[in-house]
Amino acid sequence: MSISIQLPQHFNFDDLVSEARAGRFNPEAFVQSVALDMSQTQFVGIGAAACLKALALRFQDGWPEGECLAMRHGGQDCISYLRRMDFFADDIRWCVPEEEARQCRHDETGRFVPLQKPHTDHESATVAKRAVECFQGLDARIAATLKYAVSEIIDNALQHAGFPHGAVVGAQAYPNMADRPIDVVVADCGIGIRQHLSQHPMYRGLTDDAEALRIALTPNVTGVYRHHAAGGRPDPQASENQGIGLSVVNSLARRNGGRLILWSGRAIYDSKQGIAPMPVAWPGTVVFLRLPTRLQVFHREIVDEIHVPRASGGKRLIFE
Amino acid sequence: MTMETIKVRDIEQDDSVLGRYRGGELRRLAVEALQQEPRVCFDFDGIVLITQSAADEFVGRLRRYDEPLLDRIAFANCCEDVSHMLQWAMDNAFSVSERQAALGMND
Repeated sequence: MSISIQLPQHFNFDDLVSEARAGRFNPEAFVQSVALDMSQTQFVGIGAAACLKALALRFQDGWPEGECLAMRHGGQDCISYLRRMDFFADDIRWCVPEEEARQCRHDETGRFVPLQKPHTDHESATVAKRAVECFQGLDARIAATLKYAVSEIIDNALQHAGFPHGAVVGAQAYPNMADRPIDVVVADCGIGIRQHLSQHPMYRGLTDDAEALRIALTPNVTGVYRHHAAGGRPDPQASENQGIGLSVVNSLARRNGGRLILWSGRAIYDSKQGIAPMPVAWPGTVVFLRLPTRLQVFHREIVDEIHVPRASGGKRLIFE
Repeated sequence: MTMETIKVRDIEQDDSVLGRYRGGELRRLAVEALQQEPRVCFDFDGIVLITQSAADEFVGRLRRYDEPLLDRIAFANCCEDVSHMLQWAMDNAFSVSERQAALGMND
């Protein structure tokens, strides 16, 4: 028995958040199979598409046999867009009655990075490189900063989310808009920021998703620590966290007229509005970044501004 | 004195070192090379970007757990952004390491 969700006329990431705030879109509804009524929908954006796909991947194994993510009355443009974005790839259980073919066609203009599921940091680096290739003739300094930002937000998800599918990642460039922005979305249905932070000795009692977002966005607050194995001892092979990546990307977005949105659990951060509670929870974390490619401030300047209390006699690397 | 040279551009097949995995790979190569040779040189010719997470996973983590090895590693042909980020990761590893000690997390 599937639940029906009516999608609005435009369904980008902002619209998905608005629908969730209004109680018309609840990610946890995907525990059951879902029928998306797209009879009013003229446009689906990369951010919303990534979220829908992450939710389907997270919950579809619990759906009764034969049930799927159904898209009803979807206009050809929406279905075609989703297909070009590889929405239907990766074993997602879907059905579109009006459509039969499963093949995915790619946009030859190269203005987007289709949805994919990087599992390793190596794959995330590939996504970052492809995002830069959405723009022709990008200044080297801007390309480096863009790669930096995309790589850091994907890495963050792969390091901390614990989502068996890695993360659902996609990007769409808008080279004809004034500030030539790119939208990047990283959606996972993993443990979420609060639960991740609660592995840190300083935040074991953390119960508030909003507070978890605040901590995650504050540079160097979490600090380096070793992830602990089940027995509570540090795992020396595990990767470490410095709590810097998200804060640098946040500053990049804010100071260049871009936007960073993080939705994790029952709290959301919007670089234009701050942290706010959400009436419904995202089961994991979604990161949405809009970064103009007419940059005024670059990643190096922001990293430099993070206070590093050096000890006297700090060691210098050997540069030849 | 013999010294192995590792060309980072050949490993990455790109002009960037992105993310912890790639930084960890450079650290692994350093440790491996230093088991055979007294010194190793990482040649960053053609590399224009290393992310903070990659730099931390490479030199920051060596600083925290294998600091003596850093005296046997040289970095060549780094552009200013790359040398700056590597040194930044080094400096930051030092301060966070102190914090770890204060938290009793270094055992």
